[in-house]
Amino acid sequence: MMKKELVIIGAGPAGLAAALAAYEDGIEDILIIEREERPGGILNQCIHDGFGLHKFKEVLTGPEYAHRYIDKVREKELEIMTNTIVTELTDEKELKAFNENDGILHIKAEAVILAMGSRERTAGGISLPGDRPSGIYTAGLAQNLMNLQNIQVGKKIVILGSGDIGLIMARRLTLEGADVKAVLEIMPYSNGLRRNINQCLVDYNIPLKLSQTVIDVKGEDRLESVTAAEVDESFNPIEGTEYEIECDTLILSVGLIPENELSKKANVQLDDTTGGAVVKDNLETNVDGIFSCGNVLHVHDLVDFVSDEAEKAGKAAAEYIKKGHKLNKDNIFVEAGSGIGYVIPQVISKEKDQIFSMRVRKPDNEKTIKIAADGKILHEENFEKVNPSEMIKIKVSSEKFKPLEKSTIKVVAE
Amino acid sequence: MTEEKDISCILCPNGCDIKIKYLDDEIIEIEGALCPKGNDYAKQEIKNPMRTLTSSVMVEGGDTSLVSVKTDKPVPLEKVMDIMDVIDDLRVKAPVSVGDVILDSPAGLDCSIVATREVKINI
Ligand SMILES: Cc1cc2nc3c(=O)[nH]c(=O)nc-3n(C[C@H](O)[C@H](O)[C@H](O)COP(=O)(O)OP(=O)(O)OC[C@H]3O[C@@H](n4cnc5c(N)ncnc54)[C@H](O)[C@@H]3O)c2cc1C
Ligand code: SF4
Repeated sequence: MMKKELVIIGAGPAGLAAALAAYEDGIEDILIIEREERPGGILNQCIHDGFGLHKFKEVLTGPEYAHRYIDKVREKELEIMTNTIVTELTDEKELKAFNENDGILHIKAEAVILAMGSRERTAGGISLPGDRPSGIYTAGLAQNLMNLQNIQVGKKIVILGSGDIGLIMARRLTLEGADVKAVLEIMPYSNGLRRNINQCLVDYNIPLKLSQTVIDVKGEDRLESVTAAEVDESFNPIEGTEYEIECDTLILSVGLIPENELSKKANVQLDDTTGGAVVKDNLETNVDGIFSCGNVLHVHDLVDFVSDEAEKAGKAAAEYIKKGHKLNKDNIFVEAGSGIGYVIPQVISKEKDQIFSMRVRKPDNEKTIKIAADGKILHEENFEKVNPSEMIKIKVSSEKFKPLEKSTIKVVAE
Repeated sequence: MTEEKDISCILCPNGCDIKIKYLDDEIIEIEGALCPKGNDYAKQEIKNPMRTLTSSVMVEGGDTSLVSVKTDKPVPLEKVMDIMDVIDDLRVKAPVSVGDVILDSPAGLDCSIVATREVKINI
């Protein structure tokens, strides 16, 4: 069995930043395992710009952002094993991985960082009605085909879902000569960043149809048309509003789900709302020495925040390895209250300053986010505008937690 | 007649909503930007919107068939399709490094097309 101090699963931005941070803190025996041919994760196919503004104070494309980290990892000569998939992980931090050259590898790690990213919801996942002709793609798959494999997906396009990937693909397809007929969004608002609506849809006169969805899909071999309709407040189609859109391609941009199959095998406790692990303030899961960061923990819209989070996980893993035992006494539970979708971390210790990452449930103006415990407000912050598509981060100093007696704090938006 | 426009700034993820009132080229009122770059952006938007174009170019002899590229400066939005036409016909030879200039002044514009990823020679 191969022995490693630190094994990182996934060489996307999370895995790379975690590795560099652990190295900075004195850990050299690091192995990063990546199932794709090259490191960089999803960034390799995100050829648009809009990355790195927080981290590098400049606007980079996805591949450029990834390159900055890959360069540093190469410079420090950290080992990345590519074309290798991790298939098993136990709570004893034993891994099984597979690649064509070595066959099955058995690895025992002192600490593991989960950085597997997320996968896309599919047609099955949203119970799309109607036929299943060819020409239906998830947005990320379409992006991969076009940007990495030079395969055009279609000419007449309808996009279902207005998340960022769908918006980015609307522009990409238009630039490549396709006719994007509409972006349909079942919610009364878009889940994408405002800047993406502007520069991807408005710039190219692509209509965004809110409170609308696809109620039928037609076509034998290839997609021929979809039927769209308006929906009511409970998302049921409103009779009489149906109309048909002729198209050969339907792109689904209906969300990402953290990729936690391996985590489950290791008995990592998952949070129902995020789909990722329940973590302490050092990003350690309930399993000693297993940490989680990036999209596998919760879906991020900004890669800069992924890198920050991953650095924290890398540092914590280094500390764990050096001390070789439980790190801190985390005993305060954090709950998402009214108006808040989720809060990370879910468990904190009193001794440290905290940064809470959260998302609100719906877009709104003039909201106050309050962090309360023992019937007292510990911290509050006002926001002119809140949006579920934009993650909110709130810093609270440890001073505020010290006097606490009860072991639960609640975060609400009022 | 004065005109009014709501513009959301695309320069950073804050995406500020900027309200701008103007008469021809003259700005009467502008509000909503969290930083000065937003005001400049809004003024540019009503005159001549500028965008950085990102796309990809075919590579010969590389370990992948495409290299992702961008314009090294923002270009007029109305010229974006002209650049796409030029890019469609381009071919480059591997290897390519990040930052390599693939083409100068596409469609006669004051910018270059540069590579945003590396492509190694296929062995
Ligand atoms: C289409 C799209 C557009 C985006 N646009 C922007 C933007 O404009 N600006 C911005 O800041 N952010 C953007 N983001 C967000 C940002 O790119 C992501 O949040 C970030 O890439 C997540 O990083 P990650 O390392 O957690 O996951 P990933 O990048 O997904 O990396 C995970 C890696 O783990 C590997 N892996 C998974 N399972 C295994 C296994 N079992 N064994 C081995 N390896 C495994 C995968 O192959 C992958 O390489 C966008 C995201 C997407 C999808
Ligand atoms: S105005 Fe400034 S802060 Fe607001 S989106 Fe533009 S660049 Fe960002």
